[in-house]
Amino acid sequence: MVVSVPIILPYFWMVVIAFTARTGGVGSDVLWTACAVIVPAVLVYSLVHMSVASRGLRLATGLVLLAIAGTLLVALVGERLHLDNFRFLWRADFVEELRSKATSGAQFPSVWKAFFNSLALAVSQTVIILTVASLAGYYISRFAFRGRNAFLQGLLVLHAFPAMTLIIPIFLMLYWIHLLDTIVGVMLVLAAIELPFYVFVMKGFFDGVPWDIEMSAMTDGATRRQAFRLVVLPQVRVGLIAVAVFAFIRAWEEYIFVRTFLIENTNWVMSLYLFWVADDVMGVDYGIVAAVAVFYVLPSLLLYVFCQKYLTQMTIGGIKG
Amino acid sequence: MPDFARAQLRRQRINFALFLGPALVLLAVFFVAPVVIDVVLAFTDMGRTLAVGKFTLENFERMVTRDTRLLGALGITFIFVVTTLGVFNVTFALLLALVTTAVPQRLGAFFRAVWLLPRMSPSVVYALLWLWVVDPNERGLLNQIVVHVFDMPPIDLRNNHPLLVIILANGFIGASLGMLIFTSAIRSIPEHLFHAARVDGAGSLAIVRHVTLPALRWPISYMTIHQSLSLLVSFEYILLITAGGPFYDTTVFSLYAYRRAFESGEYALWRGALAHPGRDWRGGGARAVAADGHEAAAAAAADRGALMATDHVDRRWRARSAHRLAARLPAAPGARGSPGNRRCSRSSWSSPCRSSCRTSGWS
Repeated sequence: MVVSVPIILPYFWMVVIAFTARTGGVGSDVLWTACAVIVPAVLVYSLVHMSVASRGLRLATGLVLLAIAGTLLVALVGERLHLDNFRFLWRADFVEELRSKATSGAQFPSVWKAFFNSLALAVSQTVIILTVASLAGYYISRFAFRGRNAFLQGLLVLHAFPAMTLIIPIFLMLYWIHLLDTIVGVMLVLAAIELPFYVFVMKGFFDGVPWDIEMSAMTDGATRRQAFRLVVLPQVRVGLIAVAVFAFIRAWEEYIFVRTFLIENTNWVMSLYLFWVADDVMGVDYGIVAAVAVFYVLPSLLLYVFCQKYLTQMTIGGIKG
Repeated sequence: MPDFARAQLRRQRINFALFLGPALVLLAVFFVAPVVIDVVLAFTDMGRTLAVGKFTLENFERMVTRDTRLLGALGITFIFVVTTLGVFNVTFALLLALVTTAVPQRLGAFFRAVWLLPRMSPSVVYALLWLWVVDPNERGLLNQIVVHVFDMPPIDLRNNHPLLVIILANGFIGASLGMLIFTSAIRSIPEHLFHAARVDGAGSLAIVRHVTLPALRWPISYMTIHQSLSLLVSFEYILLITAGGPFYDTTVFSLYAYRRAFESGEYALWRGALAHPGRDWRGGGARAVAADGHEAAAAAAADRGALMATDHVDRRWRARSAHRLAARLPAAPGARGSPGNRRCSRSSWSSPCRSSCRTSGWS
């Protein structure tokens, strides 16, 4: 329990800052007051959970504790909470308002621009990876073709390959083919670099589907492609979901590649937006930085929480090969 | 050739193009081509103008003889990789896996979810949290505790012990992957072995020592190698938290190559371009990259050479240890139970397990 504190506390603090800080300073007393309420509540509940066997009683104590902690929190820190820090959602010029106009002359696009750029990047990259990886994974899993072993080994080498060292040549290449500073360019690069891993994952899932299913489909008159589309793909639904979620989260959080390949501020994605906001108003207004961070982290966090069971399956599927 | 055979051949070709074509094209253009470009550039005199005049070994010569910071960067890389790996990615991950499998299942799942949080949250956010934790003024989370609880003056970890900060930051992330893999390995140990050990009078520690750890032997060696490879090349969190500073104190080798290429002139140019969007930044930016691009490419190529060497050693070593393991297997059924062993004891380079638990981009 105690080992997890270094992880939970910073995240909790970020949320606290986002909802309480005002321009110029952060009150740390809110954090500790909240902790003083929440920690005993959690401790008491875990004691009850361990010692009481009946399920209903546990639930009841949990609810009572939750109510007590909730009222205490509202009473103690309630009036300190506010939503001002989230004003970046509806006004794009908050940086100019915090700093003088001269220092940050309309550099910051609206956050929604960055948000939809991020979304476009993540979704399109996910779609590409999903399509290409499941096609390739199926072919590798089911077909014997000349050079299959060589292809697998090559894929393995690429997978083990430290892609970070390729930033410089990719930069030059994108510049040569005029895709530098475009979302499309970053999307293709990211998809290609992540691809080997996902091909292996999909191959693992296809390996788990029995041959008989396709055989019977083809006996019933389906062609190979029909069998793949209509019979096998539904069988690996879990794998598809896991790959999609993982690819999405990866693209959503990408920083180094977008930082290097995207330049114009209309092309910013959320990670760049957050970085420059932090760079520009850190020290002036912690609250807004924390609020942007909360806004940015929310989609991937929600995906992670709701799709956790698929993700762990992917890890296991991955190890099984 | 009979008609039906020709038709079959055609169908096979179409299938090949349809299923494997997209992957081949994508990989060839955006993955293999950059590798080739990188290697070629390392041997050229490409400079600020992006023009290639002649092929030369000068870059490597300069790197070895005149680059005074290179040695320092290598030393830092060594300390960084060894410490992070030894303390967090293996030891701490093992501890986490043991603890989370020992406690009730729900609680264990909760712990794992918490420890996966850093991996799942965007790197910029994670780095931001670290900046707030080690903030040198009294508002920093760490300093709030240091000042108010221990009554000491505020400490400035980021400037005084920058290496410690990046090791901790990378370690917290690294521990989670090891935790996942070790957990699933522990799960796959047959239950009856634990019962048998208990019947024979083994305590919890003895069980860990004689049943669990032997079964984890393969996953542990796998993690060590995989993580040292990815730690060698990943610099994302270092760039975000300390930017390689103060001065060059936390600039590991891979970050060094990046800084050489992109920090010298181009960074300033980008910012300039942002302030004056109308200006033609493209050529300027690319030119500035190229200013140090060729040297950085050489450095990157050398970096990869080292990696390939590591990988080669790793492969041979693993084949050998797999042999040893296989020889010993019948005596230790517990070891056979772990997914790593089962798959990889007959492993060769192309064994699927090695590949697929590798997670690109995961430090």
